[in-house]
Amino acid sequence: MRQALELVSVTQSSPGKAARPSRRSRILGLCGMVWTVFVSLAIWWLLRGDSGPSVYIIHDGNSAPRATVQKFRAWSKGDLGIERVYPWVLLGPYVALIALYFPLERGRLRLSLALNLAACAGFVAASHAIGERISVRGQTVVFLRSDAVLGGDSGGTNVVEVAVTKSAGSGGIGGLAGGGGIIRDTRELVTSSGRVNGDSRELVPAEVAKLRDVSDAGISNLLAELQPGNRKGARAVFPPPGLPRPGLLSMLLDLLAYCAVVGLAHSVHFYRRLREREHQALFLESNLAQARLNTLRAQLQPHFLFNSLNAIAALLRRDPRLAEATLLSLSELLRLALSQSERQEVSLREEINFVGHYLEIQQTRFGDRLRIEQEIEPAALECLVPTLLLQPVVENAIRHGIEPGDKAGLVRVTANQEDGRLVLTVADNGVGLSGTGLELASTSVLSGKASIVPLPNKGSLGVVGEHVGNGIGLTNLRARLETLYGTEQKLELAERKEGGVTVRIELPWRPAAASESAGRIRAS
Amino acid sequence: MKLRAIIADDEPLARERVRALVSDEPDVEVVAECSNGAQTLKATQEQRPDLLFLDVQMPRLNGFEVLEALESEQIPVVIFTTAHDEHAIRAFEVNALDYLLKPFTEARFKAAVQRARDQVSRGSRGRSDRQLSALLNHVHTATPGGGRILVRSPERIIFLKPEEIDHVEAAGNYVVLHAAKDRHILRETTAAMEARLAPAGFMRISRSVIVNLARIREVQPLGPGQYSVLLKTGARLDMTCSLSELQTRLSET
Repeated sequence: MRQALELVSVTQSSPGKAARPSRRSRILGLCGMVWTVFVSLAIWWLLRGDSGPSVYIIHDGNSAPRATVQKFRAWSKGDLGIERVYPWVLLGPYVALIALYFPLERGRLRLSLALNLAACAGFVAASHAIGERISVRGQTVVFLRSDAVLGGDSGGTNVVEVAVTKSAGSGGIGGLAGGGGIIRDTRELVTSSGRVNGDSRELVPAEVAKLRDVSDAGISNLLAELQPGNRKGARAVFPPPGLPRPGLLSMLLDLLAYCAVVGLAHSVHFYRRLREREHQALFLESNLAQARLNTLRAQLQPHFLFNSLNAIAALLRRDPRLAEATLLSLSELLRLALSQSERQEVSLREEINFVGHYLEIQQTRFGDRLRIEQEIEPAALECLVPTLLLQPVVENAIRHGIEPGDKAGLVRVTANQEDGRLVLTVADNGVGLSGTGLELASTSVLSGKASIVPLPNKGSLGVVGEHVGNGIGLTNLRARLETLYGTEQKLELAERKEGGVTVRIELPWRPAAASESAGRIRAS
Repeated sequence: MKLRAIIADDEPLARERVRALVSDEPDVEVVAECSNGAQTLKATQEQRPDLLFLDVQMPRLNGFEVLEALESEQIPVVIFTTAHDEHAIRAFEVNALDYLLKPFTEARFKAAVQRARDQVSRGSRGRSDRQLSALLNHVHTATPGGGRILVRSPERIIFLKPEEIDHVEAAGNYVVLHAAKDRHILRETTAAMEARLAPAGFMRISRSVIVNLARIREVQPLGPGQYSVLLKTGARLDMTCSLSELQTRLSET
């Protein structure tokens, strides 16, 4: 049933999509392309050489309580930094897409799992790589230490100490020295420390200028120069505390981000699926209700009902027993048609039983003019078929095949297994499609009083209404089959060479016992 | 006097019921039972019964077509029976004709037979004739597409579908139906034909000509305000209605 439903949902959604296929997919495709271009550019921008390295500022490193703050700040620039979100944002849509198309659910779990695991690994690796690149660049660090205490000594002239570290692969000190960002940051430092009285701008460029010329070796010298106690008791903290490159923690965060995106995608997916199922159930329900109504209309169709009652009235004199049986059949038929069963599927046995009542009455009405043959494979009786499957077909055969003609009619119902599928046929030897259609045979020639050979004719009054009504019956059946079984079903109407019409229905072979619980659409 | 009756119904049990009820009427004798329209037509022509129990819905020819195919002097007193046919019932009501709704009660049946008996004994054929032709007219106009048109010639009876007719020409008290190479003469007025055929895509283009719009090939100007219509069959017909009228009708179809 679940599989059937899968199919159903596919076919169900396809008409909707088919209605506006090119437009929606085109827009989606365009969005995807734009996004991909954006992502490529963003990643290029993130990974590109060195531009405006982040400047880490630690002032007043000698104050112990500040260490935690510094550590946090360093973290906030590192693992928890806003930069860590970039790869997630950039790659998230792709992850979501994979999760949406290959959700982790029964059916193709293995494939989905493998794909999602691969995507997860890819996501974490890519995030990590981008994050590392960002953080590596960030590791060109400038420590500016405003030694306020000493500054006070120098009589209003603030002294700013600078330490630069350069780790492997960074953009180098050149970029740092040339960047305008430093000045800004420096000023920030100076003003935020609140201990500088002079104009920082005058101070800082001098310091930076000092850096401008330094080579890597020069940095070492500079660092050496900045060793604690080396100059005016300055203390540079080196290497900076709590400024890790993206490590295990960051990968954990990547993983969490991945899970969040996938989780979101899944919730969307399952919500949608839920809605779809609800829609589906609703559709089937209304369709069944329609079928029931059609059947009821057919049973209560005055032509059938009153002729049946007339036949019973006639039988009462000659054969009260047969009259009784016919009356009971009629009442059973009406009861079944009126019953408000919600079941979408019944066993073929039940369906045949239902149709049997109808055929019995028709048989009584038409006597010799109607012969009914059934050839049902015993195993097929236990198969599940849609409720009210045969009724409209058999009714069609009699009303439009047998009734308009006046030769001995035969309706033959068969059910058997073919290639693992349930094949049902309803054949009649009646007037055929042309005779039943509105195209009535036209020129009927009655040769004098002798032989009269007119072509079959339905009562010309009310023909149109009847045909429209019946068309609805078969159309409804077709729609119901499609909804229930998707492409797993077939309903064919063919004219027989020897006259009459064969309706052939193919369904999945599903014995009732095996799929009893799944047989109820509402339960699944 | 014995009433000779024919029972026409396609369902054996329905015939049986009529027969059973008739057996209670000592003066009615069933001379034939028919299960389709063609049989009924033949039996009626051969047996010339006084009374016909006629089911409306029958294979081959329905009840109305049977009546149409009969010469008016062949038509007996008719008691229509129907299970349910709204159109037919309306036609009966409109033309004040007696009919039995199946399943009918014995009392209702007896009353209908009694009325028929009176009619036969009075020999009041004329009134029922008029009623019947009015009924058939009603049926024609109420049937979508006008139904089939019955044409009687000395040797045969033909049912023509309206779309087979190319054009209709008036000829005195008759109309001539042109259908391909055949001509059929029908005792009917042009106005009645027009009323019957107009819904099937016909138009009256002059006092005496009704044309199937689907057969028009071209319209040729003859002079100021005068045109002739050329049909696909090659027939050339004078048109006295206005061109715009024709265009309106053509654009409708």
